[in-house]
Amino acid sequence: MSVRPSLAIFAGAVLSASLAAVSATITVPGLIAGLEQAATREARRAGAPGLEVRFAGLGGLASRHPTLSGGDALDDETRLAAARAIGAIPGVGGVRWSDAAGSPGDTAVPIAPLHCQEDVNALLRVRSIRFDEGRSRIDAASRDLLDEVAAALRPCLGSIIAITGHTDSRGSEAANLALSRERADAVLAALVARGIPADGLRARGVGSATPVDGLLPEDPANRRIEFSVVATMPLQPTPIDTPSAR
Amino acid sequence: MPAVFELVILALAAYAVGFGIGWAAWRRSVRRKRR
Amino acid sequence: MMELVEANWPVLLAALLIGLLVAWWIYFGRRRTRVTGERRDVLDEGADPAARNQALIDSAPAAASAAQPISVPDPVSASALAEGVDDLTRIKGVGPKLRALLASLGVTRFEQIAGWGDADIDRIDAQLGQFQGRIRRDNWIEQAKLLAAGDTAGYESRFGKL
Repeated sequence: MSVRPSLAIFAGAVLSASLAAVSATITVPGLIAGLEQAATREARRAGAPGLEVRFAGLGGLASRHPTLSGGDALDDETRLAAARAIGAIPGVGGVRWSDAAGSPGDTAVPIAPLHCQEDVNALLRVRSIRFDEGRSRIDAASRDLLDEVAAALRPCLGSIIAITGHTDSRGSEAANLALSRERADAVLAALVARGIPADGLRARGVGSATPVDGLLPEDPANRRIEFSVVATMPLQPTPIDTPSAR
Repeated sequence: MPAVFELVILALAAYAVGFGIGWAAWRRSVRRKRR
Repeated sequence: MMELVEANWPVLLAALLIGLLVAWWIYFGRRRTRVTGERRDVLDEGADPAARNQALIDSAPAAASAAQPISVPDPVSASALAEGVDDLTRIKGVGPKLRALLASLGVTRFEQIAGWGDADIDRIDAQLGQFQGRIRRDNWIEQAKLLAAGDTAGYESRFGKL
């Protein structure tokens, strides 16, 4: 045959594409009808019966990716639930809202509140970790308190917690810095001994630089250990198609 | 993307895969001959 | 997407097979015609002039020796000519060595060669060793006929200058 090979390749591609187009006109309407039924059912179940689900894409052609509309009266939680339910139907692609701002929703990963920090601070507000005078050795009576602190920090594994040691302003500042640092280290060691992973803890000492609000720097009540959450869980990037409330 | 476009792209991909299999078979036979 | 694939798998399989077919046709289907169509070797073109050149090269010593007195390395032609035997080196493609070989086989005259049939050719050809195939290639039968008849003009018009 005297046909050029590139012509044969092109002809084969055209044949495959046209076969696919013909098959699409046969099978796609049935598929989409099934998806529409399932979507209205799921919307009703999620508490949004008036939700309008259109399985249409470019130029009105049938598509696997639904567009939701008519949810203005609903609150975010219902919208999210409905979007998630519809997205979970097998065969449905990306769910989007007709009134969307266009940005991917971030409600899929809720930011964990700083409850760890507050729990620990609540503990320490009433009691304090005591050290020997001028030393960094933790007092025996504070052992139970440290147990409770470790228990309060355990749900926060994954966040980074800063242990800050403070002193009052008596004595040389250099000595205060060193002392506060050693005390913070001692607390860190104690917590590690109670099972908190060391790479989630950071110890530092600030001497008398930050006294408690409302107290004079030389007030001995400034001698304290403070816990703070430095970093929260890292945010996972959400794919654009993730069903969201907006 | 409309379902028709998705299906056409899938078909073209299958076509390319089939062509690649044939081409690989040719390469294997040529290599056998040249050895 | 998987549901789309499942619902249309025959078409996707067909597309795969079409790709395979096109590849097969391009790489394997066309080779047949290309190989068998070109049987002629490029060396065939120069075969006739090459044969004539070879004959000239082979017959040059014979011409030289004919011009000079008969030299000792050529005793066969001296004694053979004296007995009325033909000088087979006049055939283009036959030199002194081949003439000696033919003489050892008992072939000494043009009439003998001119009267060969296919069976004779095969018989003599088998004995020629390195000169095998020359009988047909240089067409000794034709040459011998013309030389036996003494038809110099006809010979030269067909095979070139003697």
